[in-house]
Amino acid sequence: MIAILLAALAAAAPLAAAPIPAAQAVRLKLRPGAEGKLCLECHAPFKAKLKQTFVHAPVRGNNCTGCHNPHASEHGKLLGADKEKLCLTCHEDVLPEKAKSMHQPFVAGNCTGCHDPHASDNKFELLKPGAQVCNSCHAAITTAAGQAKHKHLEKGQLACTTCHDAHASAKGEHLLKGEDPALCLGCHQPDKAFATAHMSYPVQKARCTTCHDPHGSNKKAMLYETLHKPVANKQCKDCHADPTSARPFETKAVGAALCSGCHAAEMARMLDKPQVHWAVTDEKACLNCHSAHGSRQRGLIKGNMKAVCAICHSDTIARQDRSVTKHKPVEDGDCTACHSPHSSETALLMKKADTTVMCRTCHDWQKHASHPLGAALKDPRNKNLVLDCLSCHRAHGTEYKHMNPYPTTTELCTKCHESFKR
Amino acid sequence: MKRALALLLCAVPAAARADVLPLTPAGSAYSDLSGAPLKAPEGVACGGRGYVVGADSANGRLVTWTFKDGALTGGVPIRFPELGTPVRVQIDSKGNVLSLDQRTRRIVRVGDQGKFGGFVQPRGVPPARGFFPVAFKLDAADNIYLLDIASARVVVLDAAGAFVRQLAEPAGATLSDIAVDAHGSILAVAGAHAVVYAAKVGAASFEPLSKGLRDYASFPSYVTTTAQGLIVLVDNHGNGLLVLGPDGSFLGRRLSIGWSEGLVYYPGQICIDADGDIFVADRGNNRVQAFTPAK
Repeated sequence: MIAILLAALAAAAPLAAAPIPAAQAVRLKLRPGAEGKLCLECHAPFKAKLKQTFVHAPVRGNNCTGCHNPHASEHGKLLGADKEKLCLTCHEDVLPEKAKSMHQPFVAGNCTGCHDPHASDNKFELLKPGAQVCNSCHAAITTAAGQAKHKHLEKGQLACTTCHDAHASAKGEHLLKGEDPALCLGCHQPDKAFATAHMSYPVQKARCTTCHDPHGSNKKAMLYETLHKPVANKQCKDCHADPTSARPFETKAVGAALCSGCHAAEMARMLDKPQVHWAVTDEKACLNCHSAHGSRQRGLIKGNMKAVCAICHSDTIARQDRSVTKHKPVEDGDCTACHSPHSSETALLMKKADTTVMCRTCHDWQKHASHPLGAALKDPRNKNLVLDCLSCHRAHGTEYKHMNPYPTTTELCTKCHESFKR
Repeated sequence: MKRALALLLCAVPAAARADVLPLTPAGSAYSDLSGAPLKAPEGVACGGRGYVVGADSANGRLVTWTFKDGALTGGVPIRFPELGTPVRVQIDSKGNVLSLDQRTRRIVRVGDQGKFGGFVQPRGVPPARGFFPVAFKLDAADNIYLLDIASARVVVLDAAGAFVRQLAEPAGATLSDIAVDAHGSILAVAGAHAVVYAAKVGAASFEPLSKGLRDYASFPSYVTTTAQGLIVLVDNHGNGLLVLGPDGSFLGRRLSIGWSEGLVYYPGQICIDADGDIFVADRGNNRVQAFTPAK
């Protein structure tokens, strides 16, 4: 029995030692002066732990039984309650009444994912100092933020908790401590230099993150890696009204009409095909998928393509998520590996009319299987179909292995090879 | 006893639902008279006396059949340049065929002997952000209902193409298709959210009719009604049909994915004739399938 001490998070832990309730000491019938010390007689390694800089208040108060039952428990590590509930018995203040967003480990009750329940050399008994603890799960963000040429730093350090709450936020999505731009204006004052940098547009009333990457970037002023040309050239007036007008952010035209001012030829090519993505043609048009100012993604896509496409095609993405076998382009959010996002001559906006040719761009089917495919081979189930990859697989996955539409290989094969059916 | 009664009460609606819109496969059309195969047909419409016309989309033509004695026969092709890429087909009260060209977004009339009969020329439509019709339907008086997604509206024209009225798309919904029921109400389906909306006769706006149907459908892309007032949705990505009551309540799913007869693969338009026979433009299977209501 190794674990006998405490489990609790300490984000807002009071620094004063919590005394053992008198009633509890009586209940456990401890020898006088035995509180805490008794446990250490067996759990000697914890003596070193208690010398660390930040010690969880109950530990410091020798109150092991604040979290653990010394005799028996229905919970792991002899805890006095479910770990999802135990920490909140003291730290209920970390959960706002109407949270707009919550940290996944916090929701899961996995407080020990970030905190050492006993002691640590890091503030708040964190397992690692500052942003390093965030890096454990959010390495893609923190690594990019650390490597960016223009970093978003506080006192020379990456400090996630300057903008994000670690547990839950009542004020914003993504655990943000406030809404954009109010959160940003907490540090960045809209002074004269600010106005000059923004061509006198009152951007303190707009969303900073439409142009700036809050996690840093290689572009000056932390502008997004991919910038719309007028933004990069500070030509806001190409699309927007004059900054001195009553409605300076109003665009000179709406929807596709605005974009066609520069992209007319490209848009004409899109519309001159029989299969046009509806997102191209509806009211929001280009802005359904693209950011007008800047993006971390190529092509000014609003976000990871898997997430952007899922705004309308959540059924397709959900099918992939449920699928036993994953199709890499879908998993990677590379929908345009197979689909033409604007328009196509082919149904389902496929890039190539011939499925086998399409699949062959990644898969060498002769290595994959020896089953004959191609235009010369009719599908026995349907004389108007030829055998291609989709005769046996579904590109966005199924609940069966190899993206097969049937539970077993036998069931799949005997759809065509009926003589082998038993 | 109480438990048995409760089980019985629960079982009755479930049993009733099983009888809603029964479908029995009644063969398919794979080609025209000469044997030229269909390619990605997206549209189908049915008129009187078993007349069925399919939009053989990727071949840029229409094909007509007769559904008689439980089978599709014939296969007369209709082809002229103005048809473009036909994707939706309708037959008016006089038996005339109208087709939507997916490339030019114009509605083409088929004239005598399968010749070009002119375009529907919308007149007096209020200017808006653009005009990009993706679907159309006719009512009993041959008024034309166009779903114009560029301006997020449904435009109603009279049979000659003159503007009658327009309705805005429901807020936050991108519509996939519209229909007009026997009472003149306009139905609309939003594919991404799988919600059916309705605008009763004279109503200025759409109201939600169904709840979100995402538990039952992947991406409904087509809507029509039966003579009994049932609403039928084509679940294009989910490869099946959804049957809803006139109040938008979910009654059941029909058909499923597959390549053999009786199964569908990315179905497009469907039509239901006066006898309750259902024809499916089975795009992914390159065929038009017929189903009878016989059990």
